[in-house]
Amino acid sequence: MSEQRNAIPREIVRFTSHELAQHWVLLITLTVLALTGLGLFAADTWLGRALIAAEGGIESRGILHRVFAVGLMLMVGWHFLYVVFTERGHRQLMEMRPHSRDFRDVGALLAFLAGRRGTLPEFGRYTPLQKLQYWGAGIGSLTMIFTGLVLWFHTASMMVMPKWVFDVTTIVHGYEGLLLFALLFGWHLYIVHLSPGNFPMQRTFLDGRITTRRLWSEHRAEYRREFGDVEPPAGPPRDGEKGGR
Amino acid sequence: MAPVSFLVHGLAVVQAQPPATAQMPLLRVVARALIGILIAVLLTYIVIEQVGSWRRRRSGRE
Repeated sequence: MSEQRNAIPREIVRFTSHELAQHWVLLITLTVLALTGLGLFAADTWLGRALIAAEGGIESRGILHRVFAVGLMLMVGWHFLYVVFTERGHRQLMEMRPHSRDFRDVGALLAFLAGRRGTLPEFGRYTPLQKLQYWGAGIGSLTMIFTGLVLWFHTASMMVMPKWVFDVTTIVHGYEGLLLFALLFGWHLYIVHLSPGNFPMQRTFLDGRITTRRLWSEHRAEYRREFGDVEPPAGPPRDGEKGGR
Repeated sequence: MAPVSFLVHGLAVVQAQPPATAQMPLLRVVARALIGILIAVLLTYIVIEQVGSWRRRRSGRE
């Protein structure tokens, strides 16, 4: 048994360099889009004025916003090709599919987080919260791209849609941006880096690696698929790990 | 040419409708309420986890 245990590596690759590159591009484009968008959204406040000044004025803010919007569109296209036409990418997409079990697992997860349950449910490769973040960011990005294009090409879009649709699009683009900002820079950042067991930083987004001990505690079903029922070897903790979501 | 009664009636209907921008405050209120609810849910999540973490630390010490 201990020989089997020693044969299990202490760390494995969870995300390839290709997937990390996609994450970096998304991180950079969404950060710049959020900052340049927030400047305009809150233009009549001190924060908006400070952001616009830092972005070189109202005109360069607009140029920056459009350049990075094109970056986001290319990124979405790249990701679409990756999940549709590569074997690994397609497998990741299939793992991200929501199941009815996810809804039950959320209750058990909340009980664990509240300290009313000793162990996490046996999650697969992605937990329900990770799926929620993926689909939230994905659908949010697509909405932002569509509404952003309507606003960018306003003359052409007003030729095919009534004025009220344009007005609604303006509001949806602004508030959806704020929603995405709160979801990614508030909740996602907290869950991945600031929550107990991860603080001050989880390094998986830098090197794509995860310890088998963390895999065992947080993605038990995936661990069992890879290594069976043998527990992982003990090793030095990484990223302040004690278990998380 | 449209009959006069239609033109008068049509004009009255158009004038009775508020301009599109006048309906926007309601949409803004709904959008702000949704964002407020989302932020409240996220904060509740964080509080639940922090309380759970504190409980575990306390039971670990005992």
